[in-house]
Amino acid sequence: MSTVREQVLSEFIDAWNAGHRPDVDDYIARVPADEQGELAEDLLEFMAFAPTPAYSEEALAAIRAEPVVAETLSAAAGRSGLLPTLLGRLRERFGMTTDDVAGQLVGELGLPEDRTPKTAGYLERLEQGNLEPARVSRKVFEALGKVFRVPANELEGAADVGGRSAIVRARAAAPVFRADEDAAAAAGRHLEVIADALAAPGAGPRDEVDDLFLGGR
Amino acid sequence: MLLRCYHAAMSRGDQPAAADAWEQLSVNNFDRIQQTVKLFRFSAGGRGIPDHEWGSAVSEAYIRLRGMGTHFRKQEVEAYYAALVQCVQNSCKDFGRKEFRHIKRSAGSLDQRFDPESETGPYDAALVSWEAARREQSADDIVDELHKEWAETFVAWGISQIKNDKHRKVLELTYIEKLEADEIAERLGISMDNVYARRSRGLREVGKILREHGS
Repeated sequence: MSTVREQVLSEFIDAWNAGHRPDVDDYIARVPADEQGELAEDLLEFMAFAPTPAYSEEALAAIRAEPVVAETLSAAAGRSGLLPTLLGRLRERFGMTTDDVAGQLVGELGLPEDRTPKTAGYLERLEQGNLEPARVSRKVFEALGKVFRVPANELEGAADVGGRSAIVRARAAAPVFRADEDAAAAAGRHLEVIADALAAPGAGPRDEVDDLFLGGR
Repeated sequence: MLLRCYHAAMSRGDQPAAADAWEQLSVNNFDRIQQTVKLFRFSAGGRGIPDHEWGSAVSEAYIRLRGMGTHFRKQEVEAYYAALVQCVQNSCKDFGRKEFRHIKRSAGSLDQRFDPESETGPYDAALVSWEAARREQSADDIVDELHKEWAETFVAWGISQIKNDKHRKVLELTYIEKLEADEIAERLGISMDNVYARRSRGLREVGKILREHGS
């Protein structure tokens, strides 16, 4: 004789395999309170190695529309990959400001404390997607991994996901690019700004923080 | 299939194709991540992730899993599932640490156990046994190609270790042929009640085997 818990588990398995996207909460709510913990354990056993359902196009579209999936799909197409998204979430979870992270990072990297503001500036650029992650040293990823307690290769991987593919895609698209007739005039003023910036004296000599964030891996 | 596409693309250096395959693999497993986060418990029968943190924990686990797509070397889908489970568990533990800190105003005991660089997962020991079994098994022992392919999977190996024939048969039909409960009942000539009970008990057995190295 089966129990209600066993029947509900079985119904969840059938719904999962059929690609109906069942929600564990709905099923757990159907069994008496004293059996809910056991059902949750059974569902977890199943979920670990459950066959991936053959989702319908409609179901896949619904999954792609889930906020985090949509966000990562769009972030992966960007220059900085998923790193800005991940850094922001980790920092938020730890309830830290960028300055807090920079303070710990400086410690992990063995840098003098007075390098904290400059490090915070680079971190801010990274989180805003304004710094190419490929330029950041592996040592920074390792130190960030220690600060946030995540494997460094997950951070590095998040940086590489979109970064690399976006670069390759951009290269592939180049042959079909044609500049508009007024492109020279439009780009000219930007080039002048860049030229001015390059000609202007720097705020100081390049130091170890610059090397860590601009020197590449 | 997608994991094979991913590895094929990686081996020929086609990063965009590998990224696309990994992205699709992640989309296909989004529900697995979401449901696993909801089911996660810090200890058997204990508390899980607070309701208001589910969304954030799912998001973080999903992003971290996507990030693994630039360096994932294992070829078997079960190794991917095991990595997914570990990634979700790590994310959930991280959220738990936050919760513990909030409650105890301290770093919390989870900190003492956590090693961010550890690659040890709950299924590692069984994965080693499975690899050994595969090496020992002669391909000639298995005639049918479909059965051969199935028999080479980690879950199949785990199911084959179940001693109770009745439980094992119901799980095979659930995993290999993906039959629904009423179809299994009809195929085996048993009642629905029996299918429910055997599925549940078989699932517990195989879960134990996959976590505890097999018999």
